[in-house]
Parts: sequence; structure tokens; C-alpha cells
Amino acid sequence: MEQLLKIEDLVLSFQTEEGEVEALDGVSFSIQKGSVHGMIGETGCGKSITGLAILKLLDNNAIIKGGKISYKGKNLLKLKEMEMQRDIRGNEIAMIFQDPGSSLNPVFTIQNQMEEVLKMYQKASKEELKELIIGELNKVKLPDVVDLLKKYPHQLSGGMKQRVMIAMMLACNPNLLIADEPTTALDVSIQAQFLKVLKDLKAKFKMTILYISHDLAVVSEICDYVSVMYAGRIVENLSVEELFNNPTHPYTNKLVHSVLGPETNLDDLEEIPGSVPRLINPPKGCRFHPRCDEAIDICAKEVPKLKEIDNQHFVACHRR
Amino acid sequence: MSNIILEVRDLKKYYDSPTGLVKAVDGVNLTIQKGETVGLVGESGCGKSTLIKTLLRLSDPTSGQIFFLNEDITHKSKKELRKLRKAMSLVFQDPHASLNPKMTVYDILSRPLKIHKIADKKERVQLEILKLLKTMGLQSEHMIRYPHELSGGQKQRVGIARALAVEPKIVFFDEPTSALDVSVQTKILKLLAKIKKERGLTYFYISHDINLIRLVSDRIAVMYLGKIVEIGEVDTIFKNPKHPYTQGLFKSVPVPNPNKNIEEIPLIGEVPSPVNPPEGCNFGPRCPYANEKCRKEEPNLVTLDDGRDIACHKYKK
Repeated sequence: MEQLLKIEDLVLSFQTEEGEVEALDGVSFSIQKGSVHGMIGETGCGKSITGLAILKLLDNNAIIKGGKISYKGKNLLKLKEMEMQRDIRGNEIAMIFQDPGSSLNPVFTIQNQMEEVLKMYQKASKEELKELIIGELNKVKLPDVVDLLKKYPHQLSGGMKQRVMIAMMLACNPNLLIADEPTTALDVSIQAQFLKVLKDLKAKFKMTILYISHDLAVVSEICDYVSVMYAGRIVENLSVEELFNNPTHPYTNKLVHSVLGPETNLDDLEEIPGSVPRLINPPKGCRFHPRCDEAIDICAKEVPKLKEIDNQHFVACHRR
Repeated sequence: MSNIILEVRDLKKYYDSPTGLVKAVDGVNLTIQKGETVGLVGESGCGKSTLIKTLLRLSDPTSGQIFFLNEDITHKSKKELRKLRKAMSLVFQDPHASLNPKMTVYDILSRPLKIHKIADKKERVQLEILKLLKTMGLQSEHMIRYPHELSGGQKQRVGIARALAVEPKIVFFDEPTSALDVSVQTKILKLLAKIKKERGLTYFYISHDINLIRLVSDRIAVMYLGKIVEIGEVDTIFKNPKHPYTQGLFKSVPVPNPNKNIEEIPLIGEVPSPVNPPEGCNFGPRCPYANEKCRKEEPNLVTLDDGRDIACHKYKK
């Protein structure tokens, strides 16, 4: 399989009044063409930052201290802002966000907003544009598309807005879609509809997706391969089957066993003692060691490296 | 002596809006027994939160009756309700928004103690707060902290401590863990179960997380567009959901197992607006089994042999 994106040893921090926040520390993973790559972890682990770093959409106080983001042989970190805007954002890599309500402009109609995007990439008359827009909206199975064009975002439900975002993104025809918690704001029945749309797009257009989520059940629905993050580092890269059948890192194992399933009892659920560390002065060595049952001396001293323990299964733990 | 702690008869709550009358809660009947946990599930806008607010008399019902320990509280005055506030308490969804950022944990927890005269002397207040913090697995040093100095899980523990400070008989939970990470959620759920056992409390949970409701409840109610469509023992409903909406809703929940994916879309379309709800059965336009009768006649709740109540024309007693 062909690699579309490869991140090597990405180190990123934020300058804040309180000090330097080590948000990402040596993040490495690669995304295969045509696959859905999940990125999971709890609040503040750095999964959204990784997504934003790929598109270089970070705030001014972010400093990339090292590493490489290779996309189709190009190191995105070396590109100028103008080159990112012209060559990468939208037409190569597109992103959709958690809250579709705040991604759309409230004072323009859906047609206006779709036109604006399409005009950047296509030369077409107003009539042709309208046809194109209708085509894109149909792809995401929105009902009454012609009516919808004249509507404003507030007249649409959350699920419909998120599908408009997808249609807008499809209009640019990107090769990689970064979806940052796209269903978190949606109800389960609407989430099921939305995931079906994404699955169809993946099957039909061989779309590659980086799917960021904290919901492991959703990840099991849609992803092929998963990166597990904890406190700014990747602790495990593995297939989605392995994630549920053979979670190897102590953190991954606890995380998988704290997810509520249809047959879970309260007593089966795992607790993780303590809480997620602050990333100003994070723990030395393995960042999970203060909360780990299996920690030994070395865990507090040396950062564990990702090593391949099985085919395409990588773990960063001294005990494995 | 009856064992019913809370009873609701044909409760309605309508709001005026520029587009018309919003029927947020439209004829809910419910009884809660002492010591049980009742869970209410439904999607956004189905009226879950309005129902809780109305039950607690935080907003006045349009019609219907609410009985708390056999006493009609539907029309009690604000002054009379004070006593009630002590017996029924509420834990909110978002611990970041429900704690006053300018108050320390001590201030937050001392208010209910003082207002309800549970403790007045400074030493007593402090003692009670220490006891509460201990129950919630917090340390005494947390007393002088402000909410922004606490993690999400710790904040929610303070929110729960505040609800327990008045020694309530029933506690309402409005999505208590939806703002928290899963590993934190586990701790809170276990703690709540322990407290309930120790104090013999009654819980009323609302959540959109169906697996969570199954885990914590003895009985569950499913709400759609202001009405309860199915209610019964948790095992009965989960093993064999009968209302077409309940069936679709349960099937929409992703299972954390990559070999069990959702194939067909379980529920088509979206929830209609509560301003002009569909005629006949509310769920009719999205129901795969809907017929002529469903479009004309509203189904009433009927009790089936397995003890569940269901509002659907498919089922007759």
C-alpha cells in the first residue's frame, strides 16, 4: 500500500504566560492511501493539534521544534504560507470540524458559501456553478437540495450542516480529509446517517481520511488503523481489530476497557488512577508512568520508543 | 404506605415562540419508586431537560399534576417550594458552567448548608464540607480552590457534593458525565452507585448516551418529541425493544467492536419541529410500519404483559 502522509518525530510547543506547553513530543505515524486512520485519546492529548499542524493552521504562539510532515514527497513544514494556501489547503488536504454551526457563515446562504469555495478552483458561469453545487449536495444525500440552496445555516439541523461541510470539502476534490470529531455534536441517529455517508464516500471515491475522535465505538465503525495518543505522544499505532482484541500499551488497554458497550457492567469498567498530566513540566520518561500499574524504574527515566511488536503494530512501552 | 416518591400525571409544558406554540413536554405520565434509578433517554430537543425543569418546579407546568411524597406540588408558591428544594436536588451537565468561577469550593458548598440551615456555625459548616469532600473522593485542600484550578472530573465531584449537601431524597442528573472523558466517567459512575447504596437515594438520570442509561438504571423511559413512547424494566426494554423508535434508536448506537458495524441506516430523516408536530403518532412520518391509523389517531400508552408501557398502534393489550 502507498503512503499518502507520513509524520516523523513531530515536536511542537506553545508559548504561554505560565511557561512552555509541550503539546506534541515526537509524534510519528503514517496514513495509507484509501484508508481511514483514527486518532484517539482523551481531552488535551494533542489529537486536534496534530490535525491542525498538518495544515499549518496553528496559532501564532505555536512553535514547531522539529520533525517532518511528508505529503506526496513534500515536507509541508518547509512550505511557505502562500504555497500552503495555493497548493495544499482545500484541494489536497481539507478539514472539517466538530461544530458545524461555527464553521459556516451565519449571514450567507448555503449557495453563496458553496459558490465561494467552488470559484477558487473552477472557472464556471453562475448556472454551471449551481449545477455543480447541486451535484455535490446530492453526493452527501441531502434532501430537497434546490430548496436548501436558499437557506441560511440557522435553518438547518446540525446533521445537515455537517453534510454541507462535507459537500463543500468534496467540491475541492481533496486527496486527504481531516475530520476532527465530526459527529460529537450530533445525535446518535444522525451520527449513524453521517457515518454511512462517509463510508459511502470512502468506498466510491477511495477517499483517505484522518478521523480524530474520543469515541472508540465510532472509531470501530469507520477506521481501519488507529493511533492512540496520550499527553502529546503516540503510545500505540495498530489496526482497529488489534485495538479491541489486543490493546497492548497499558493506557490503551485501560482506555478500551472504560468504553461503555451494550453488555458492559459497572464492575467490568477499568479506572485509571490520577488524572492527565499538565503539559507544562510533563512527567519525565514515559508520560503515563505515574498512573501506570506496571511502571518500573526505567519508566520514570527514559522515554520509550515506538517499536514494532507485530506486523504494523507499534507500541511505546518499556514493559512490552 | 405507598412507596412512590414522585408521580406525574399528564404533565404538559408549552412555550410561546415566534413560530408558534412549542409543545416541549406533551402529556407525560411517570411514577418513580423510592430507591430506584429511572433513566430517561432521547435525542436533543425531545424535551428531556424541560421535563426535569418542570418536575423540579423550576418552570411552571402548563397543565397536569406533580406529586412529591403524595403531596401535590403543582401549584406551590415559591416560599412553600423552599422545603422541596432541600428534598430534590439537581446535578448539571456542564461542570465548567455550573460552578461560579468567583467562588471557592468552600463558598460553593457552604451556600446550600446555610440557606437550608443544615449548619450555621462556622465550625459546623467546615465539618460538613470536609465530610462531603471525603464522600466525593476529594481532599480537604480542595476547599480553598477555585473551579478553574480543578480538573473536569473534580469540578463535577464538587457539583455532585453541592447536590448532596442538602441531604436530598431524590437526585436528578442532567447528563452528568457527557462533558467528561471516559476514564473519568467510570470513576464518577462508580462513586454515584456507591453513594446511592449508602444513603438509600432515588436517582433520575437523563442522557442521550443509551449505554450509560442501561448501565445505571433500574427502569428506563424513551422520549420522543415531548412524549414517553416506551417505559419499562431496563432488561425488558434492552433485550427486546418494541416501539419502532426505540428499536431504531438502539440500533443507531455504535458498538465498540469493529466486526459489528451498522449496515443499514436505522432511523431515516430527522426529528420534526415540536412547533407543528405531525398529526396522529408523532413518530409516524419516520416509522417503517406506519399505516392510515397512525397518521390519524394518537396512540396512548398501554401496558403489555411484560410490564412495559408502550405508545404504538402495533401493540394492543
